[in-house]
Amino acid sequence: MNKEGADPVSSPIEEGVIRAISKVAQGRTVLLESTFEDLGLDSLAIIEAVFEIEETFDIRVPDEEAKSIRTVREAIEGVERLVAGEGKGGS
Amino acid sequence: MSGRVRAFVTGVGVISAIGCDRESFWHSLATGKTGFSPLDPLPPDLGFSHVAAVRDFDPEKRFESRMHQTLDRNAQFALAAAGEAIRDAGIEFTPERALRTGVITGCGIGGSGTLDHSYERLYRLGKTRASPLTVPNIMPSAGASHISMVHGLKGPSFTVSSACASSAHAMGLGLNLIRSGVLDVAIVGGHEAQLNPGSLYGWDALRVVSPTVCRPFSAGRDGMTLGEGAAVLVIEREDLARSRGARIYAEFAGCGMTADAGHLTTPSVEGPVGAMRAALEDADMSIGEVDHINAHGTGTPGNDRTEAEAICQVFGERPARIQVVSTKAFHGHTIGAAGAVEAVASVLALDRQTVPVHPAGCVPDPEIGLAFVDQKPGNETLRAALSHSFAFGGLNAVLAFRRAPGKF
Repeated sequence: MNKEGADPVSSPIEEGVIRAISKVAQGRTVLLESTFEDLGLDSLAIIEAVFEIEETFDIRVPDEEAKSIRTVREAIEGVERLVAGEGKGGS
Repeated sequence: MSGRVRAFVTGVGVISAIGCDRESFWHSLATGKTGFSPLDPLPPDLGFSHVAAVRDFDPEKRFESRMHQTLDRNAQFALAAAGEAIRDAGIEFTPERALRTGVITGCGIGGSGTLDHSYERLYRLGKTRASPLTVPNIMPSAGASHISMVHGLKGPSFTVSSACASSAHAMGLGLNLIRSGVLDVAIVGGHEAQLNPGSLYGWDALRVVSPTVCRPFSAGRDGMTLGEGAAVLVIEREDLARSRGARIYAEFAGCGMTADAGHLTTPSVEGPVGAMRAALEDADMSIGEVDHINAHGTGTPGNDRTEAEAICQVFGERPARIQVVSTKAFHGHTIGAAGAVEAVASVLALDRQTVPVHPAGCVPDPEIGLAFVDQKPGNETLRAALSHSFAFGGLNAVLAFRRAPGKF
């Protein structure tokens, strides 16, 4: 978990996702490029992470998306899509 | 029963309002220190103000992983008590032994704190989704599962639910699984944590909770005081305990179980009498051998009167010489954990050869035909003890213990 060379966290979404995942990461440093495997998240911990993300952004992550996310970056992209999709009548 | 497999208690752990380890628990019992404290905050319109809450239990310090965040309080208590009991027994779980070691616990209600929190989110905060850990935390068997997972125990493991008798039933089943050859070692006990608003109002509605504090068998008693906690005991087959030179607290000699088949909340005399007699028969124990009873003794006027009558029926003229105490006077009513918490008190009494006395504030009730233990008895030896659990719904379990062989 070398922080050097990591992309700097820039957006509120990135920050919120990292904070949410950190809650279940048992003290491991969560980086933009971390995979859930790197973070030692098992299937239950991933579901918990998704719940924390939903709480943070007041969104609902669809089942198929919750099951397919494997990296921090995918989570961020998913949240960006969901947040952008709000108000357009779809989810 | 000659030729029957015997089982010994070789490890003890407890989390309670009067101590979060075996020695502090016993010290409180031996010195008359009770564990009652005012509810803070006090929920509005509640008919009582005191509980026996577990203090000095810091989950963050006790658990290395996220268990302090992810486990319901009752399962945290279970894990802590089991850790103490297993360390105390000094038993090593080789792969073969782990397969023949089961975890059998009692829990009356389960993760009611988790459920309460979940309902608060749903109904008060307007949230429409719950934590993914809600279900795994509500299940009453969570305590047994976590003990099994942390210690790698792979034998038959499950949780019994029979309200206030849950962990007494669990202990009886553990004993019988050892006797029948299914298990070599049984990690038995109980866990409960239900001092949350939803549960407190539920108990208040039954009008059985004391507006003061629980004073079992005492004149002027006015109800029970709700407690929380866990207790775990390591039970081993005799040859295994002896071959590894285990420290033996007591023989777990027998268990008797009956059902009243009567009223939902009013206990009968016959059901408890039947359970006491069944326990004595199962333990091959004469009434003359019993020197101490840790009674169910909830402190309600009716329960204690009925239980005293049952004791008198079984023991005839002998009750005047049996030291009958209810340790609920100290740690409150721990519901699903009560059978195990009180069994620990009985086992320690036999081990230390002294019974707890009723704390200050308890005074004899002339209507109760039992000797009222309010001062230390003389140097009489304690040969055997019963621990009573008589649950709502008329489900009764009585456990019988003998002092360790070779003691005196």
